[in-house]
Amino acid sequence: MDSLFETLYDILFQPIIGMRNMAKGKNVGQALVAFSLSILIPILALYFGLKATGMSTMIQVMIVLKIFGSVVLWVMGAAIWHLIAEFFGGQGSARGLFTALGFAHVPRIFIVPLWALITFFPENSKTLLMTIGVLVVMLWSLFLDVVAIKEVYQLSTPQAVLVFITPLLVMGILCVICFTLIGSSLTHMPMWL
Amino acid sequence: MYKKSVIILISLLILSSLVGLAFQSGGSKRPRLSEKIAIIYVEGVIVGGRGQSNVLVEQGGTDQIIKQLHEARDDESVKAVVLRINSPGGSAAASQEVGEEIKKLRGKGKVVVSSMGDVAASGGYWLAACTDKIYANPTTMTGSIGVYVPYANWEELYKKVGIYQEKIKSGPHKDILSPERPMTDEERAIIQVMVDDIYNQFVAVVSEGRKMDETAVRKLADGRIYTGNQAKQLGLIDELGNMYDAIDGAAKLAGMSGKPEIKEYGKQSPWNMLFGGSEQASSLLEKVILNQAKNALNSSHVMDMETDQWQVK
Repeated sequence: MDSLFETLYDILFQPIIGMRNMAKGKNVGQALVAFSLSILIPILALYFGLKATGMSTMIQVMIVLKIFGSVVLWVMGAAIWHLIAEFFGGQGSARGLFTALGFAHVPRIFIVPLWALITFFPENSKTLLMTIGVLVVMLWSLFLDVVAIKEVYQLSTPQAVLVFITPLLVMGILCVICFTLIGSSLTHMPMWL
Repeated sequence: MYKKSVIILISLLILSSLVGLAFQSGGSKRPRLSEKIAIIYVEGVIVGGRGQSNVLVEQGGTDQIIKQLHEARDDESVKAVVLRINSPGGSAAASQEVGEEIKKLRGKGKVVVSSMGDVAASGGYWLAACTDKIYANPTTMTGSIGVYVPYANWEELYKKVGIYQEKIKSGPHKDILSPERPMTDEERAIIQVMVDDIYNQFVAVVSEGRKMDETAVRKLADGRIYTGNQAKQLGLIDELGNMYDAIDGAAKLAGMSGKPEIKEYGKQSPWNMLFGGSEQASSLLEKVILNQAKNALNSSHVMDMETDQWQVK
């Protein structure tokens, strides 16, 4: 069994090999450590960042939302994607996917050096650079999610992408339906001058 | 070995970045004490107490407004306060409590200016009358200087549904305003005296705050509402303008030069945004109606206005 260092290296720089090993090894303990680090380190950076900008009231909410959202996404994501992957004919275990998805959050730790680096840039370009940086990290993380699904269930890349986006598509459709219903119920609201 | 070295290098990079960010956040505390204008919002029906509160949010209720007024009073950097009022009125006691707190704030040498939103009537006007200067939009609904005690007689309804309520009371007036029997002339007189007393106090507050003769106030204080435009002509407000005009006016009165720094009190907290409701114009109307319904049941001293008098149909 690879050490955590080797696994992290593989996940970051050889994601296909890394995820394949994860799917076989199913080392939940390592995944838990990697997940915790990849959540707590950006949270610390977020804490310092919000403190520096004086947005102290946002800190608690952001931290709670970040932890809660990430854990929900990990656990629920593994469960939902497992069901969808099996529906699409994938052969793999939920535990393997759960382990692999835990490692898919690892690129988020790069937000910290990115944030530190951006502080040296001019004020007017900071927001744009940070947005681009966060977007790249998020895309990297999403790419790892897809690779995890692909390797755990031995699906083709288009199939893995389809499995990945199915819950998002369903949520999108549900949102459209909800907004349509809410919108139609608001039409009888009293008019004000 | 190579893989391990790369990961250790990345860990060191992240650790040093975290330390750097920690130092930056510690060193970026703002030491300057610039002069500020505080904005305190009075929204919805004015009711005493803590309003709606749960583990995550606390909203409504004059306790919050009083707390904010206290904070503004104790904050050395706050030179003036703008009271943004968007309220159809509420309880007399709650309005009086906030009004007295505004006077104390002014007593500390801070300028207090009112800015009226959609509506600042009755109890809302009581608060405005306690401030140094009042700004309103030409179409703001204000005035409604008066008091009423609602009373509903549900005797006939009770008979129809077969409810008979009996009370063992310590005195003849203990169940005054009870909805299951008609009000006696004696009780009506007692309530009228109370209404007159509160009305006189209201008139005195307006007279003192607006520096108007009591007789002149009584002429205007028949309970009717006025537009901001009418109120300006009658001397019930000072200037026509929006909240930013009020901020500029407050800065001028406080002798502040340049663009003033704004400090908003009672700003919606992230918890409130997520779990609490916002005060929309439509919900304001709902609250007025709800309040009236509640009054019919509980019968407290309420200054209010009829919504059909000002709602545009």
